[in-house]
Amino acid sequence: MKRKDFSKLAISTQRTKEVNFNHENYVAGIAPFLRGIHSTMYVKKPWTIIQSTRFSTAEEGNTFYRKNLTANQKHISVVFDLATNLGYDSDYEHVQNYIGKNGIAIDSVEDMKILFKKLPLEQLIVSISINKAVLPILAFYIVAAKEQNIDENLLSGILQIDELTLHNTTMQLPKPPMRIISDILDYTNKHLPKFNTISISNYHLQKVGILPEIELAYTLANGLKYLKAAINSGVDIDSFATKLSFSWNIDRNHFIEIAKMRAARMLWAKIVKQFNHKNQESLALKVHCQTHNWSSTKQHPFDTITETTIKALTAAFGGAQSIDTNIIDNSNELSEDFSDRIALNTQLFIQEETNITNTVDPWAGSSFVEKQTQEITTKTWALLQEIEKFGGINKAIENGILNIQVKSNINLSIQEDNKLIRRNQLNNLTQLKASRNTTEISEALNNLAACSKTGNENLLELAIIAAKKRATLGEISNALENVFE
Amino acid sequence: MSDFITKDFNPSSAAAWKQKIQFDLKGADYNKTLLTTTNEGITIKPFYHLDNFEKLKIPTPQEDFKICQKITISSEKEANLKATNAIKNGVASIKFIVNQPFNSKILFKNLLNKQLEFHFQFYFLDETFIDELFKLLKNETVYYNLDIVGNLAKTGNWFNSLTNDFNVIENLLQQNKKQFLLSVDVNIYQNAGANTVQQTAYTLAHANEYLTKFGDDIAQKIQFNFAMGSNYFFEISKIRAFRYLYNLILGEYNTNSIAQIFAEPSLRNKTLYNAHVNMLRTTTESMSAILGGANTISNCSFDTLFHHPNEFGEQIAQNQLLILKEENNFKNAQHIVTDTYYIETITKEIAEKALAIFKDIEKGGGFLHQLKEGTIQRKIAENAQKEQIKFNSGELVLVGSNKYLNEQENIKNNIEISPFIKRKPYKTLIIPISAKRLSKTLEQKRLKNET
Repeated sequence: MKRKDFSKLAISTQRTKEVNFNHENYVAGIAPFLRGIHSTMYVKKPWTIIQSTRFSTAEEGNTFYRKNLTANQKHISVVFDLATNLGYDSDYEHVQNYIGKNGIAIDSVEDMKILFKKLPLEQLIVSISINKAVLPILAFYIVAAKEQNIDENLLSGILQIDELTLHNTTMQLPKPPMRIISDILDYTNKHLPKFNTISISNYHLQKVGILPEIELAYTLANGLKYLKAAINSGVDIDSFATKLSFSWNIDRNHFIEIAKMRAARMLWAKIVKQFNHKNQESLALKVHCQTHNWSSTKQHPFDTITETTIKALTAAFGGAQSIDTNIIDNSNELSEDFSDRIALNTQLFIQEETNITNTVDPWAGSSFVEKQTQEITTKTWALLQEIEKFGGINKAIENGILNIQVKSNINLSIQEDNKLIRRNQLNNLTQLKASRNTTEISEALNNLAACSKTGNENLLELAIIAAKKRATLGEISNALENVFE
Repeated sequence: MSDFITKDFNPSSAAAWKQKIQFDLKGADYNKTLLTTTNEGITIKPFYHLDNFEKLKIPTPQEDFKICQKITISSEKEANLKATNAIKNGVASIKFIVNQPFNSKILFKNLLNKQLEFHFQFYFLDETFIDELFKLLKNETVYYNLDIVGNLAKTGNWFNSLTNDFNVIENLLQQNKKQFLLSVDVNIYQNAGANTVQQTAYTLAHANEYLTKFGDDIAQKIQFNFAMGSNYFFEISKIRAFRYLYNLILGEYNTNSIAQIFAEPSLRNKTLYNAHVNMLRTTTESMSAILGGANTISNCSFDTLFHHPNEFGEQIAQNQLLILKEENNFKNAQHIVTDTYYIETITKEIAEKALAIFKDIEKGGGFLHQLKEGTIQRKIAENAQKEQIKFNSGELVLVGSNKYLNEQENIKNNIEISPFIKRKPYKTLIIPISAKRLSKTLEQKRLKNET
C-alpha cells in the first residue's frame, strides 16, 4: 500500500466536562480549602515525613532518633507504654506487665532527658501521643528542653491527645478533662507558640464496612465538641482552631479516601466559620495521616509494603500535612531495621521519583473523585446536623444515630520479657527518690493538688515546677486526681 | 450539592488562585519557583483549574484489566505447573517467553477452554511452528506478539531478511484472521531511554509500518506492549495519548480501534542496591497502568535484575496486582481519570507533541527508513543522555541508589546473574536500540569497591 499522507492530521479538543459540580471552583489556600490548605501545597514543600517506631526505653528511642535524623527527617513521634499513659510510675505493682510494652516507659524528667539527649529540639517537630498523663508528660518535655538550654518558645510539635485511643484496652480511661486542655492551651499560647496542641484521631474506629460519611461526621463532630468547650472555657477561637489538627488512619478505597479528605476540608471550614473567627487559618483543616495496617496478621509481610505504598499515595493525594508509614509486621518476618528503612523509603520514593508533587491536588476534576467529594460532603453535613440536634456527638452515639464501633482490643504485639526494662526503671526511680529535696517536692505537689481543687492557677505551670523538682509521673498524676473526678 | 457550602464561600477563578500564590510567594519568582519543565518539553503548572479545561476524547476499553504472569519456558512441564499455580492465585492471563519451539501439548495441558488469555514472546520466527500453534489454540484468546520491526530495532537484524520476515507474517495472517498476531514493542524504546512523547510517536510510526504493509485489516490485530516508569501522571497520560492518536491515524485508513495494550514495569529505573525499593516502583507503575487503561498488566520481581526467577519475588509481584485488583477503587478504574484537569491537559500535550514527531517521521520516509538512517536511535540516545546527566548530578533521584544510600549494604554475594555482562559484538544491519539502566555505571563502580 502507498504511504498515507498524514501532514494535515490534527487533534481536536473539547472544552466541556462530562459533569460539572458546583464546588469545583474552590481552590487551595483560600477557604474552604477544597484543594489544600496552602496555595501551592507540595509544589513548594512536600508533606512532612514521620517515622514512628515503638521503643521500650528512652535510650533506644534516643539512639534511633539520632541515627535517623537527617536534613529531610526532622520529625519524631513518641509513643509511651501503657503504664505511662495511665499515669503510673514503674514501681506501681499493678502495671508491672505493661512497663516498656508498646512504647517508652517514662517515670520522671530524667527519662525524658535521656530520650531527647543531644537532639536539636528547637529544629524538630515532636509529636507526642499521650492520654491521661498529658500534663506530667508535657511538663517533662518542657523541662527537659529547658535543662538542655533550649528555649521553650522554640519548641514545635503536636500533642496528640486522643480521648479514645486507650478505649482500645479493656481499661476504661478518663479522658483529660477540658480543664486540663484549656490550661495547656493557655500555657502553650503564651509560651510555646509553635506547638499544635491537640490532634483528634480516628485510629480507634472499627473501620471495616463503615461508610465514609459516618466516619467523617464522627471525627468532625468531635472536633466541634472541642471547639465549643474551648470557647466556653474562655479560649479565643483563633488561638484554639489554629492549634487543632486531625490524625487519620488511611484505609483502602484509594479514591474515596482522597475525596473524603477534600470533603473534610470544606466541611471543617464551614463548621469553624459559625464562630467568630478573625484568622482565615482557623478554617483550615490540618491532617496527619498514618497507614497502619491493622488486619495484616495473615498476610505476606511484603504485601504490607505494597498496601503501605498505596495508602501513602492516598494520603498525599488527599493533601496531608504529614504522613507516617510505620510498617507493623505482625508476622515478625521483617527485621526492625528493614521495616524502618522500607517504611521511610516508601515516602522518599513517592516524593522523589513519582513527580506527584509537581502540581496541587492532581486528581481535581476527575468525574469519579469530584462526585464522591460532593456526595460525602452532602451526606456528612446531614449527619452533622442530626448530631447537633441530639446535643452533640456523645449523645448521638448513645441514641444510635451513628452506628459506630470502637475497636475492642489493643494489639499488645510485643511479647518479649520486660524484666530488664523493669529493673532498670526501678533502679532509676529509687536513685531519683533518694536524691531529691523532699520538702520542695511536697510543696510543689501540694500546690498542684490545691490548684486542682480551686482552679486558681495554671495546672501546667505548676506541673512544670513539680517536674523541675523531680516529682515523678505517678506523683504528679496523683496530685491531679481531683480534676479527673 | 445543596447550597450549604456555596452560600458561605465564594469560588475562585484560576486568576484569583494565581494571585493568592503570588501573594504567598512573598516576592519569589512564580515561574522559577513553581514551574517544572520536563524532557518532553512540557511545562507542568503548579495548578490546573476548570477555567482552562481542555481534553481529548479517548477511546477506552470497557472491560477491567487482566493480571498476567510471565513465564519463561525452560521445561514445558515446569512452565505448565507455574501457569496452573498462577491461575489458582487469580491470574487470568499468561505470557510465555519462548526461546525455542516447545511441545505445546505438554505446555497447555489442562489450560485450554478456561477463558484464559495467552501471550507469547518469541525469540525466533518459525512459520511452521506458529502455524501449528494456531490449530491448537484456535478457540483461545491469544496474542502472538510477532514484531519483526521491533526485533530489527532491538537486535539490529531481521530474523531472516526483510522480505522473508514480511512474507512469514503475510502467510500467517492468511492462516489466522481472528487472533492478535502482531505487536508493537514500545518497551524497547522506553527501556532505552525514550521519553513519553517519543514513545507515543514511535509506537504510532512503528504501527504505521504494519498498516502500510498489510492494510487496515491489521488494525485490530496488533497488541501494544508498553513499559511503565514511575513518573505517575505522565505514564497514565502516555497510554491515553497513544489511544487517541492511534484512532486518529486509523481514521485515514477508514477504520477505528480501541488499542489493545499490555503493560509491565520498566527496567530502566530498577536498581541492584536497595533493591526492595523496586517493589515500591512496581506498585505505582502498576497503578499508572491500571488508571491509564491498560488491558493486560504483568508485574516484575523486585530482584529480576540479579536473581533467577524465584517464587519469593514472583509471589510478591503477583500479589501487588492482586491487592490492587481487590482495592475496590482499582476495579474498572479506567474511567476514573476522565475529566481530571491535570491528566487531561498532559494527555493533550503529549498527543500534540507526539503527533508532530509522527508526522516528521512519515515525512522523512517512515519509521523503518529512519531506523535504517539511525535517526530514531539518535533521538532516543539524546533523551537517554539528558536523563543520565540529571541522574548523575542527583537531579533525577533513584532512592537508595544515587540518594539515601544504605552505605553498609553489600550485594556482591547476592548476585546470581550479572546484569553487567557484555554481549560479544556482532554484525548488524542497523544500530540496535539497547536497554540502558540509569544506575548501571554507578552500581558497577560501587560493586568494585565492595570489600
